[in-house]
Amino acid sequence: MQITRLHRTAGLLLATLLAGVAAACGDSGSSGTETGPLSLYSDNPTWEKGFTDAGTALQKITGRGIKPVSVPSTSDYEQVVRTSITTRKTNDLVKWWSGYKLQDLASTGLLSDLTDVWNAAEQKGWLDPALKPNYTFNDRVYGLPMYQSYWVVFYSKPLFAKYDIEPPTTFADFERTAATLKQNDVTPLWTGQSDTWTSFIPYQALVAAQSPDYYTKLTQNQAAWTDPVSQNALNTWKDWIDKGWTTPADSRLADAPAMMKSGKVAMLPIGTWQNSNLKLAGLTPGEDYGAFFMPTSVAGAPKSTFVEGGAWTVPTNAPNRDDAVKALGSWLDPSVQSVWSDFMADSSANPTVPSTDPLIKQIQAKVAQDKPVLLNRFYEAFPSKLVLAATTELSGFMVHQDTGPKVLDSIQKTSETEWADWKKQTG
Amino acid sequence: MTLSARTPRATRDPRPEARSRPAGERPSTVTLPDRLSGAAFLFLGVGLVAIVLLVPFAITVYRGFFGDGVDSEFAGLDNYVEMFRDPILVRSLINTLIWVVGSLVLPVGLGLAIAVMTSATRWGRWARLAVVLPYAISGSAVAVVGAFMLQTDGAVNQLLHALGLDALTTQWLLNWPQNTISAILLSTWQGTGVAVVLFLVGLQTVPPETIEAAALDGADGWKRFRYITLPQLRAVTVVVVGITLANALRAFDLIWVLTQGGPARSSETLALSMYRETFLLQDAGQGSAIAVVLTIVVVGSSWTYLRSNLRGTR
Repeated sequence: MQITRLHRTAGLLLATLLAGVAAACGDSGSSGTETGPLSLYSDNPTWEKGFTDAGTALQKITGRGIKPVSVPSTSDYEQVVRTSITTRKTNDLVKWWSGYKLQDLASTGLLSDLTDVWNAAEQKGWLDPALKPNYTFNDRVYGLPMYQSYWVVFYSKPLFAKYDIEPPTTFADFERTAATLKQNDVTPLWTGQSDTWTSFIPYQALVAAQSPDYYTKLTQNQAAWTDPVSQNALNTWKDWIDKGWTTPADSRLADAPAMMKSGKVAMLPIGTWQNSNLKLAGLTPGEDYGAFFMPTSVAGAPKSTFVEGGAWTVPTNAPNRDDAVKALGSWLDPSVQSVWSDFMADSSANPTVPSTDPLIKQIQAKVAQDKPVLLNRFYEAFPSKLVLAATTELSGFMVHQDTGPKVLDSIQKTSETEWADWKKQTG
Repeated sequence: MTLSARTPRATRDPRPEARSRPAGERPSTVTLPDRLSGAAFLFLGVGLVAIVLLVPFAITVYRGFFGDGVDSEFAGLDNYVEMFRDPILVRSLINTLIWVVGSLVLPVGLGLAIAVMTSATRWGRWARLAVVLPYAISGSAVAVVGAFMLQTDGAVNQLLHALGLDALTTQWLLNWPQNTISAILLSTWQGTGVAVVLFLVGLQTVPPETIEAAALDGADGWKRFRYITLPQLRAVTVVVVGITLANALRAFDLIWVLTQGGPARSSETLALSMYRETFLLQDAGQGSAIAVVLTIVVVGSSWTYLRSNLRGTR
């Protein structure tokens, strides 16, 4: 009798549990909340305060702020976003990348069309129309720039002053600088592959230093990875590693500001978005560190720099999709952008918003003066799977520098497959 | 419990064939309400297992016969053939085997040694505490500490340098198979504690009279351990080895945080390859094939080991 009662109770509990699981797995029918901040997925926890502060400014215009949710590892973040946007349990806003990565996600049909938002911002002069192709897929816009970063080489001013070095203006100067630093037991250049994606940094810099045109063709599948330009880039990189000019391959980008602060490393090639992290490490721009553009390595080669801008996107399944699209309509408003660019210590995507950071002002002035060729950063410049394969191969090269030709052959083979797949995927 | 509840009903059965059965034996026929009731309860259990385990596994097996994301055309056994052709996946398989061997030799061997050496000593509890404590830390946290220690500029190389042992410094996380072995050593540091605890429980079940008798017969320490204690620890050894085997084959978090399977995928195990192929390279077909092979290896090896050993302990 007791056992029967026990069975009944257990059965009832199990049935309740199953019903609960079924209800949780089913469509919650969530239409979002009518008030409160919009939720945002980001892969950068150190930007949470910036998102919240910019959200407060945004709230004054649209009535809704921003509540960021961070997934720190970039690899994990991509997987979380790709999986969650297929469900109704995704966030209202998603930080993503421009270029092929955005096109890749847009091709799934899971991103909201932001063409009207873009056009309205462009009419107000809040956006540079030249950026539009980086956010477009099949003639529709699916993302809005989050910031505008230029790729520079940050350098330690105290170390340069200590060894009487000026920021290099030619490639020969750059190599002399590295040699001097190494002689004084300072590792000249930060490089690393522990974050996986960072392995492309020296490659893209050394290719663009020779031929921005080749790099552009490479991103359009009109050049081979086995071209002499790529081979020269790996040869120079190998030479630098052999001479001990780079940090060990297992260095992490998160440690780079501290390494610069302690005087272990003198130069850090990275986007200007790293400016806020250098400040967080207690370094003062203009005083503790400066920045220069990587010089060209071939006579007559045009000056160039890489740019990146991130992307705001709105999943079609976002619980507050309409409010999220509306919020992006005011994201580039100067009152929001001034708060955001101050936090980022970087250039705003809105050209009418001046930077208050002295170093960024200098960089912007240099860009205006030199008019370098603006190249899309490696990470967004190729189909996602090709980027992943290439960065994996380049990671291996950082450890075994004798494998250069094999690495380029392997990337070339992958490139042929992935470009063919890309054409199939995007029609 | 079920049997004891039904026994009185069986003895009250008026049918002659039931009455002629010895008391306590289950009747050969069950009434329809009993069957329905049993099926209903069985349905809940089987349903849960099916939803959570069997259906996803069936989908995974099915998906393994198709290509990657673009067309997902039927690919037959191509994904399985590719596993043994692709040098990266072959290395991943080798790494998985290294993990199995390393985990069996180190955590099990060390666990047994520590348990035996500390069980009878006064300071043993403190030694055991020191060994068991890391088990409370998550694999990810162990990996973060491990990376801090094992990076080229990390604490281990700095210590070796300070001791004048520069010849021993190496790039622990960059070269294969050092990176895999380093990860196994970290896993050993974390996981030996549970083996110690289980072996200690086993040691408490060994009757002291048997050891005393062996001592009186003149058996020295090693012989007492080898011929008296160890055979009596067989049951617990089976459990420890079984747990370790399964843990080693599905090792993921520690490796992912420590090296992300790199450089150039050189420290990947099958669990990492499965994740990478499915979620990062978006090749669900290849990822599913790896998952199926991994499942077969885990279930097959655990089943074979436990079956062959538990038979002897009955």
